[in-house]
Amino acid sequence: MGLKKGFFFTVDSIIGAGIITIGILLLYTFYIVEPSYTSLGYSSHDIINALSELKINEVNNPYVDELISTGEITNPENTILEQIGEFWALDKTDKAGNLTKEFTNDFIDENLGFGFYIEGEEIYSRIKSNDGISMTSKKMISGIQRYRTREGFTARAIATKVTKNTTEVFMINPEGSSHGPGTTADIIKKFYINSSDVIKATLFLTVHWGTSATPSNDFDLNGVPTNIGNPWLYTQEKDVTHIGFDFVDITNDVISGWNELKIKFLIQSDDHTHIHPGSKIIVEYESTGKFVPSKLVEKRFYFDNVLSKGGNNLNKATGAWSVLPIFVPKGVIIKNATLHIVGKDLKSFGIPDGVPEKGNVQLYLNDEKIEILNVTGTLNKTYDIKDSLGEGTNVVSVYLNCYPDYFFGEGETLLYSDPENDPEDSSYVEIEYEIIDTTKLQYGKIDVSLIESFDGSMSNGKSYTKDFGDYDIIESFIQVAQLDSGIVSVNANSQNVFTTPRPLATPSSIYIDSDYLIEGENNFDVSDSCSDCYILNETTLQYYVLIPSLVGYGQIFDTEEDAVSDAEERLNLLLGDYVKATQINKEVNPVGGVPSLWGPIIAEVRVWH
Amino acid sequence: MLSILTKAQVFSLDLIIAMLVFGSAILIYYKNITNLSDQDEELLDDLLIDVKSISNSLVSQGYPYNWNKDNVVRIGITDNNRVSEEKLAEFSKIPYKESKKLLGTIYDYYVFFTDRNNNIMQINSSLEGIGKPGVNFTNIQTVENPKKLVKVTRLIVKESEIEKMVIYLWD
Repeated sequence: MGLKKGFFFTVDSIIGAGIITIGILLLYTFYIVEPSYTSLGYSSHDIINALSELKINEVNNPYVDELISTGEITNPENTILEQIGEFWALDKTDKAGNLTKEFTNDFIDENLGFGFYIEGEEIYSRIKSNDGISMTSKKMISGIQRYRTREGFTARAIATKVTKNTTEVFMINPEGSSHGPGTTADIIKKFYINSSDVIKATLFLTVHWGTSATPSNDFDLNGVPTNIGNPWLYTQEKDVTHIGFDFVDITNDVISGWNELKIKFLIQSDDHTHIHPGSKIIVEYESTGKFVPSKLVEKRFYFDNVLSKGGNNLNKATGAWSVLPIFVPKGVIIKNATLHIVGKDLKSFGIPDGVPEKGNVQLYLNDEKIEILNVTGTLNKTYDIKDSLGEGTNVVSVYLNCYPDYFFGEGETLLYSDPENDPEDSSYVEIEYEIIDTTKLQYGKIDVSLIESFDGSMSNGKSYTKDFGDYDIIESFIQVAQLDSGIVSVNANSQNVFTTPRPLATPSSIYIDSDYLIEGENNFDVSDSCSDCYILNETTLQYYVLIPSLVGYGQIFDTEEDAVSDAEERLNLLLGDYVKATQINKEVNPVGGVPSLWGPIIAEVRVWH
Repeated sequence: MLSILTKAQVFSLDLIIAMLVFGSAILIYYKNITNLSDQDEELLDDLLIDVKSISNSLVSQGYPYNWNKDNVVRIGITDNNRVSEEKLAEFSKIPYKESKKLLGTIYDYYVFFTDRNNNIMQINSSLEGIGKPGVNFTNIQTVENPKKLVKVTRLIVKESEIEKMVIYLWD
């Protein structure tokens, strides 16, 4: 009985073992191993790379937002790594640690220990037992030296009121005239000086007259005779006629406001007397105010009043003619451009056969006809010339009762202009354009016009080199001075900016857009197609510079006085010789805890098992 | 006396058999649990080598640097150390079998992203991850019933955040 019971228990154990074995086999069937491979190298390398990549201003993190709002973070352009370094440098290790924790703790496997160190100093760590295997990744970051902060003052200066020495050029364009002995031509040029402090004024004239070596011309300014051409500085005889160039100081004769220059030509013998390129009035004066750029620019240039007298017979026929430039900068859209021409006492003896177009009024833009017409009495017309204008210098030529060298006016001929008293009924050209090149709109600067004469002696051609240095040039002009004149070409840095479009149509001033100018030396070349038409060294380059009116915060000084003095010195250096600050606004900024920048520091992430 | 002797013998035999069975079970269990078989170890090594290689490839720019699905030589989904959404989109367009070849593995894979709290960050509204069709990060074990499965996690900057790029590889 007892033996039977023993066998019974053995079978039980075998059955039990079988069940356990089957259970284990089933367990094996369903068991899958999933080793999570966490490389220490990957963790340290990835986290330091991510910290050096992410910028403060792009992360969406409440702690970072709080640091920005409380002013603890001042440079959102910092990467997280740089910000941690900056906190460390400013001895804010708690913030460095918190920021480190914010961007590391959740990303490194919780089974791993890790630490973040700068220059070997622990910023944050998560302690886990270390089995002796650890990996390190390092980054070099721009550092801010710790414990090397200082306090001091920095200042900036703004010139709120300035006086400037600027130079204005009033053009006297080619114009005339009378024909035949005993006739006269009276030219009246009116120009406005917006300053009561004229430093220097000079009148330049080139006159082409008849066969007599001694001209009988009179010049006076504001009623005072002007001693120009007595004798002429340069003269040239051309086809038995004479040309003279001279300049004279008129500083004591010009006044603030409207000025009137009267040029009286008396024809002694054959040919007509007229103005050549090189005639201008240069006035240097002191003025105030800053450059106020405007997107919409409107400019009007008046013709001079030209009255030709004589006309008793065809040998003493009269005629008035003049040219006037219109300047079109690059990067603008022309809104309006008009020619308003007023001629009076128009009557002709008939158009000579040699004149190609049969009209006693001939109007041209560059070499294109605006209109040819016959008028008796008064001409008062306005022309829309917008669509015919090109970039740079355009020239309007007006011939009344003449087409030089032909003159056919009976009685007097008047090209009327009086900008002082009758501006709307005067002869003028007007242009309105919108600047679309915004680089030409610069605010807060002081505009100064400067002028320089070409050097050397007269020649054909003639070059001038100018390095504008650090100045911003907004526009420039060349005023060509000649005795005889033919077809003039002007190049700026080897690019043609102007060629005389038709006979007698070289204006007193030629526009050079700032786009033609380069950094460093600029070369300006002027030449004439006629071999003995020389370019005088009195040819001038006029340029408008923009000078900044403020200097920013500079170095840190121990005292306010030193900081202010430094700012004023920097401002005066910036303003140079042409601008004087009469009122300076100085702002001093106390600076504390300014870290000293220095070389790189090492940030390090260590990860271990 | 006889009955007492008989009972004692039966008890010893039961114990010996039970201990043998239990010992065998423990040995089998231990063997299975620790994957000590040479075959298993080789497979695991292969998977780990491949998953590291795949992760290194993916965190690179790939080749050519501005690759697309038609000209890709090496799949990498970053530009300037950040995940490029364009490259990620191109990666998702590569046929699965071809992508395995390009990644240099014969095993199946699945790649997805999570945030710091391990929440899934969808690649786009209709795509949770990239890899074997029909698989997602929750069903690999039940659907694939893999012999071996390994996982690697890389940290990477994606859309102005640090995210975890998780790669599963299995046989």
